[in-house]
Amino acid sequence: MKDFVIKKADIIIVCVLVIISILPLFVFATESFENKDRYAVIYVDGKKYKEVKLGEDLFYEIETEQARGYNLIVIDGYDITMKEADCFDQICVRQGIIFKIGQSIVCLPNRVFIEITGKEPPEIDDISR
Amino acid sequence: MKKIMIYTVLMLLLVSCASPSSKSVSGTKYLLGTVCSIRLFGTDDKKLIDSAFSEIERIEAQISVNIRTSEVYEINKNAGIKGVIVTDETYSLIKRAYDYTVMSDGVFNLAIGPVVNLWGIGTPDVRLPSDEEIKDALLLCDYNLIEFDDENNMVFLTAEGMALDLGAIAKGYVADMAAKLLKENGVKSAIINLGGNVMVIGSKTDGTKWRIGIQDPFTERNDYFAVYEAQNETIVSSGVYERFFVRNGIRYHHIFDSSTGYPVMTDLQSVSVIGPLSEAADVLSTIVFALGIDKGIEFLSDFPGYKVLFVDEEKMVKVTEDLATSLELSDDTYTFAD
Repeated sequence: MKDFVIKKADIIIVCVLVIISILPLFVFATESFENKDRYAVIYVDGKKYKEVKLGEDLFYEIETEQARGYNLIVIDGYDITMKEADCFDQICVRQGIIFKIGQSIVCLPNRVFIEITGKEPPEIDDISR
Repeated sequence: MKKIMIYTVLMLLLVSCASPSSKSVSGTKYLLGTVCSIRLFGTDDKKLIDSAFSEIERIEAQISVNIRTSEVYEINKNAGIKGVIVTDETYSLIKRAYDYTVMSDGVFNLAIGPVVNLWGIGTPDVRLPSDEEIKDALLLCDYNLIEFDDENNMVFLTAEGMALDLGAIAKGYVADMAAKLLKENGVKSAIINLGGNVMVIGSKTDGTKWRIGIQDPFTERNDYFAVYEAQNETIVSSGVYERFFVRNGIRYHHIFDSSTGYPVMTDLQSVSVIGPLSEAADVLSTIVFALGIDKGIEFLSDFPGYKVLFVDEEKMVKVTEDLATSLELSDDTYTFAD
């Protein structure tokens, strides 16, 4: 049992190990803090058209003009609406505001799709509709 | 020596605390007339996404009623003229659709094409047809006029103007096939969403179940009123909110009663069917929506493993027995029915 005596060096080694093991936690913590960012991702005909960062003071008007039709997306802070569309059913315009991660607006006739993304854990993983 | 061992054990313990893999990859495409998205977790292999979309495209190219080179388009084009030989895959899908049609006495009807096309709901040509037109179209929705030749994989619509419409089964079948392909390629955690039909593979990478929202049928936004915790399951919803148009203050939705040629008359707003396979869930959601609560539940009793939730105009939620414990109402204007 002689070699079980705790020496100063042992304490140092244990401390170093503990610090090394905890370090990643802080690294990940700050990373997830930065990951509060939200984005609006706009797809046209299944291809990514534009991705913009959302923020309190940020305002965007994004137009998609293409063979299938015209859409005007307004992003005001964290709120996103399809302001105008020349599609026949206007379902996208009537959808109103979306603001949560995972929510989306779809204009099927013009094949325009807007989705809010972010690394923050969403309340739900998907919606059955 | 012992000390070294203790340190080794300590090291291993600490290392094992490292966070689980947070790799993920996703893709969105416009297929099957809707937005399709696939998200994989625990991997960042984009090729898997591409192969799943290729699988969806492959099947769509065979069974779409809109693609002029598809096998189903060919069958419809030759209605009243001749039978068309199709691949094993398309043939067996059509046969299964036919079986569901017979089983439900035409509540789900694979030959509903003429009525769907007449109304054109969800297309720019949407209109309110006359009673006369509807009567004529209905005569062409008779599924007894389909001839099958099992030897040759041949399908013949014997009257001119007949048309197959696999809209209430296709997305389900495609979701099953995409899930199968992903699983065969080692995917253990994924969500496939084909225009609102959700199929989940496994659970989240942390081992907890997926939280799937159920669309609030009273809003056009994608708000949800309930959350279901899912694992290796599909959740398919049907309702009056999906595709509809309003004429003279009356709302006409897209699920047709093949005995009247008009949209199904119901006090239900939506139904969601949950179960292992998306093809069955897709068909069953249409059938139980049209049958209503009592007959719907009775019909479903022949499909063990499938559960259903109904929402009526009073925001009452009726569920089959085994669902009440796994479903959480997140919107307090909704209540469970007795």
